[in-house]
Amino acid sequence: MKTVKEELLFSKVDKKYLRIKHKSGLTILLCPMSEYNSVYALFGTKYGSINTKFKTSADDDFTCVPDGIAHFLEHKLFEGEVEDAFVSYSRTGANANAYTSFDRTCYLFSASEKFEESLEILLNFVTHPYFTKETVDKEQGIIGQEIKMYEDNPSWCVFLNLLKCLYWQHPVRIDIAGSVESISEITPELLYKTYNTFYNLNNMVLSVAGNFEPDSVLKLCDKLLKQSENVEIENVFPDEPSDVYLKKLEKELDISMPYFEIGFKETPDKQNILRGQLLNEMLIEMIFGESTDFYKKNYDEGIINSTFGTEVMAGDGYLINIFGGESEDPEKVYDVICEEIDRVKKEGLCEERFEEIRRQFYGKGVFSFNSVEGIATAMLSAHFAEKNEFDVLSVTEGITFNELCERFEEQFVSERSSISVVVPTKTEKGQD
Amino acid sequence: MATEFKRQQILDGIYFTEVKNDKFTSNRISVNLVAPLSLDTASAYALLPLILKKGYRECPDFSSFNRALNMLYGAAVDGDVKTFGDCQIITLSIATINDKYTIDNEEVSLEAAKILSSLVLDPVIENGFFKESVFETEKQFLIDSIKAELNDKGSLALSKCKQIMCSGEPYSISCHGTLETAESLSLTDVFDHYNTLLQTAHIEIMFAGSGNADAVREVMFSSFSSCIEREKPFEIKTKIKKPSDQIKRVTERYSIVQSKLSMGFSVENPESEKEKHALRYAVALLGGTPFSKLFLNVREKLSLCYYCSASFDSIKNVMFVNSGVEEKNKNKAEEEILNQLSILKSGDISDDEFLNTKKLLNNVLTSTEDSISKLERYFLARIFSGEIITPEKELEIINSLTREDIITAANKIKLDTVYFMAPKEEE
Repeated sequence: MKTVKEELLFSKVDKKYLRIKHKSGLTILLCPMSEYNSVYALFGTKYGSINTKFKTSADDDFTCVPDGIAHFLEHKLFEGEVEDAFVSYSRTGANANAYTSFDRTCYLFSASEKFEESLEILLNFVTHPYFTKETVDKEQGIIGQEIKMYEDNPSWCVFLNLLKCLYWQHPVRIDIAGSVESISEITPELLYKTYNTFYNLNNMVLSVAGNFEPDSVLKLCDKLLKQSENVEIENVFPDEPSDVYLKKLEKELDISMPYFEIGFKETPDKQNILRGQLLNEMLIEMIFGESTDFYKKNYDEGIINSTFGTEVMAGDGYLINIFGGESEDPEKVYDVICEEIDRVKKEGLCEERFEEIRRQFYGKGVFSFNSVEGIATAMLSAHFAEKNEFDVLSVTEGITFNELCERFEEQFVSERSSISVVVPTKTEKGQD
Repeated sequence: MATEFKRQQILDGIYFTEVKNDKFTSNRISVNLVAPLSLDTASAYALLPLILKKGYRECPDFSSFNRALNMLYGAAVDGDVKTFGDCQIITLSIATINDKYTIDNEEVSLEAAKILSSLVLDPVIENGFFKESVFETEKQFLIDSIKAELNDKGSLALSKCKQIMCSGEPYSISCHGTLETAESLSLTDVFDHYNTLLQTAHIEIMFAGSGNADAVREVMFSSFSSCIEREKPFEIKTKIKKPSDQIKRVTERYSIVQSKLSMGFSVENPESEKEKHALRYAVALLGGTPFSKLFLNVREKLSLCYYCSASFDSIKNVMFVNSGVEEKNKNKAEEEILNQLSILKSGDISDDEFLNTKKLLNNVLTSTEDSISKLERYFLARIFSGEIITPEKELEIINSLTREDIITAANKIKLDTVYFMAPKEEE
């Protein structure tokens, strides 16, 4: 296999970037920005907490793994046979980190000098797993404390419970970190199995933005990366009904005012996931944003406050429109949202406001080109979601009012919505 | 591309600072009003940005105001309050894209500057005061925000530790004031405080990012000079924390799963900028990096926690160490934290630790210039601390520090307060 290079352009802000299919199988996205001091590099695999049942074309049977293993693997990969990757990075001065989400695991660093040395560390430790029983046991204590920290966090609990309400089977309903029990089932063998499946370079991407020479990246990849066989990964997601599993979940925590998250479960987009997400964000802004009468009325009446916010969450097999915040009366918030949806379904979206919303989103797109981190992350997300270029500004310009109307017709059905609430502890015992 | 830094006094006690770099696609303009942190005014001042950011005389309706912002390519208005040493900072800001990225070459930054100055200087007035309904709604939100300090146990433990450590000093006051001071606010009082604040605050206006800063400064100059009469502006200062004779220990119980340990340390007064940086360096060595003594020992070696980190407030001269642990491991964690501090004091610092911490501090400073918000934070902090140096100059100081400087600095750190937040007994 040969390395193939293409030059692309974020046209509106005149920024060039390169997309390279490296001979090893890895996709490399590079946005050189010589006017910046630092470089931000992300090495990611399309593998997150939702990939719980899988096989490759080389396997006979499917493998099922314990909840939280993708996140556990992320922690453990740092610990190499010779030394911890943090120790290696400490010699270059790079600021390194990693994260696991529902659908990806990313290893990253930001550096203002010794970029090539840092990149070498990144490429090396992610491609050299080393797991033993002792190191796996030790990590269970640390991750156990991470899980417990989140158990006291109302924002996380209310979000996770919303996913538990909306989905019957899809693994998006499982905590990314798993539970203290599930991670106790993790063994070095299982870690190797998942590693060998998902850390295949054909399933990964290297995204770099900032002050660096593209050739230096290619040279290092040539030197360090062995060709991965392009095996197909088959993920199994259980059949997910279109209706919700539970209408409501409530949990008590030691907090001052109820937290709520309201979600509308939608049919996920099979392609153009990011474009779909953008359409939903524009719809929500048009109907519920700070410039709407809905917002003003409910804000003035004290039903919502400044904590009110919205989000669209999209991925492999899930798409959710989310409303969240803090309120003394979350049920009332739920009612006013449903009433507003009914009203707009009857009366239609307001075309006069479309241009204003499109401008707002165009501006947001321009803002996103302000940082090396933002650009590297956007390139990586676009690649995982679309497998082709994604120029947020051109896409925003191309969206039409009719398209929004059609999408609104299909979405926001109150029967397919749920509410999750975390309320202040009522009794001394409190915890559930 | 170098960042241009320019600061000038435009009126009595009002400064305009530009931190400009054309590599950015946007800019942020902020008006920062600095006042002494006092229980008498903290809640009133905290309420002001909440009221002011809702609209101004010419555009009093919140929905129309937001539609206008949308037409300015999603210009983002924000208002917030924070503390800085013994001072309180009330900020209103607006962020817009650079004019050259607009579709029809519109002057959005200029428009943004006008809106921002109107928000600060020309609020919506009804019967001689702020609009009562807005006052009531935002007062309730302030009260709710104070109650909500309970929700984040990590930062609650830290502020409890601060309160115990610096009890009776302005530093111990929250940027929102207390529940009592917020509940007792009246419309007339808040309006009076608003006028006093405009007359007496030290005012820092900052333009950060790319675009026409000169035009923005002109707008600010003309609106501030025609709108307010200044009295003698407040002089920014913070009293340094004195070491206590006795260690203060407090344990409190909450309905929580994970306990929080928050330890406060006083630091002998550093005499020079160099000593201050040596302290920053020492604190990073102790617990500011993923290869620091606390991270490698308390977390990695003993597996006691997910996080254990140290932070230094160079204005008040205090250090804090924070961690989330199991209750049964509290003593073990505390002992190991103190043990690591005394190892640092004894000078047991490897070459790697010394050099690598320096590299990381270098990286943090160098990348400051790659982000509008980091630049803004950096320069405002330097301005408020009274010692304005650029990130490059700061790098020079850090790179000149020796191991001895660090050990001397570490020996000025002394345990003052141990706050422990534990689960209720039944668990």
